[in-house]
Amino acid sequence: MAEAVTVLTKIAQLELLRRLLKVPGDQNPLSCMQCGKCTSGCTIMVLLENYPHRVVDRVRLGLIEDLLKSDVIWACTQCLKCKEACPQKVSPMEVFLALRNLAISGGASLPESYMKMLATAIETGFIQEPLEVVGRDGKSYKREDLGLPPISGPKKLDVFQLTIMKAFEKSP
Amino acid sequence: MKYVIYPGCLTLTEQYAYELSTRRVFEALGIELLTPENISCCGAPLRSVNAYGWIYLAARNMAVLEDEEAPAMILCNWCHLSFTHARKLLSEKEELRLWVNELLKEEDLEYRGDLEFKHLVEVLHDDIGIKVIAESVKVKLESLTLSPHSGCQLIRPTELGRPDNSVNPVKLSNLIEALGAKAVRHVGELECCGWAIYKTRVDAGLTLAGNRIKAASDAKVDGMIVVCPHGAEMLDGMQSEAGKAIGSKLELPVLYYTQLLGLALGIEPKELGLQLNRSPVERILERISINSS
Repeated sequence: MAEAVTVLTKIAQLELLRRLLKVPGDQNPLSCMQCGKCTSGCTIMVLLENYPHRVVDRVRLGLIEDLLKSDVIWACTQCLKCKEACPQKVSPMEVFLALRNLAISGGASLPESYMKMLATAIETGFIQEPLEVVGRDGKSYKREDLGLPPISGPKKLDVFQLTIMKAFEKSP
Repeated sequence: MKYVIYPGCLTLTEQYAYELSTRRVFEALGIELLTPENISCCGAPLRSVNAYGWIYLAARNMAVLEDEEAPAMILCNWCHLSFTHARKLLSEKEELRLWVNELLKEEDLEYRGDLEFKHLVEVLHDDIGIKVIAESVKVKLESLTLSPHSGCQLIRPTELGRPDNSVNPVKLSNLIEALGAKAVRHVGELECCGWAIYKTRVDAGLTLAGNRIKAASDAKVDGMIVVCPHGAEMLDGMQSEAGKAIGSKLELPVLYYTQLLGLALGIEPKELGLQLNRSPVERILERISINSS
């Protein structure tokens, strides 16, 4: 019985790895040789103790489930230094983003800021509504106050909304 | 020479000075900018949610822009990388391309994959050229020393082909020096502005922004020059919060390159949206003896 559970757990883990590899991108974790160059140059490592090579290591071993529950996958600023530094064409940043995708498609809640961007994108086509900004002169400005043309978003907004929702429902 | 302007969400909805100064400067240079209809988010910020959603949005905009009569000029680093990377993946994976086009049909669009697009820096540096820009200058900015902030996605990752070199980017520096100012290369120049991490870890985002501004201050420059709305939002818009995050008082003017170019072309500060910058840009105007009122 215990063996059967172990086997099933391993299969589930490999299924997550298979899906992570299928997420559109160049994450490529299986080529990692653990040199640590990504971590040594990581912008976030010194601030939040995120070690990209360790995350990639766990991923390539199929130990993904715990990562999906961890905040560590949201601790990346997408500066792309890790991808630039890797001698093996691994992209730790894209591993992080693929992990976020898997976590969300598995039912994890989206950070509030992302929820807001997604909802507004579906509603309007853009990640935020046009803001009224306040200048250093204390006056507030809208696009039209500055003579900027109106934003010309999706023409058939209802069709756009249905289509973009379909796109965001697709999971690897 | 004409281009279709693609500002991206952040510029369209918040960073108005970037679009305003770009439009004004291109008018002064005699280059027509066409305004496309039916555009949307490039998908990049939503890649964290679902990479298929990102690919769809990137392909959707490329499909819209493919039908325009001129190449696209992209103002945002992230939008430019989004298109570049999505196009690579779409060309590699037929399945992905078929899926995208099946969805696009519903909006009467088709992704072909032949859009010509460039970042604003490439248009200015490679197409218009340093020489033409230098010859157009009416107010030489000789007294100014400036820190160029190319921004992450303009220079990385090399593998995908970026507008400038990842270790020694020169285009923004060349563009600054074409105006008579001095571009100061310094430690910390290639660091991240913190925009993306700010979305989930506010303190970390502000610390990165603070560190980047401090690096420029330590290099004793008069200001920083940005070419991406993300960099502007963090380094200009959040400068005082960023200073608090790192325990330093930061007071460094941050301008879009198009604003700086506009000043050199003799355009009024207000027409370049300089009243919208949050950092003390008056100091730059004082240095070049332009009255900001």
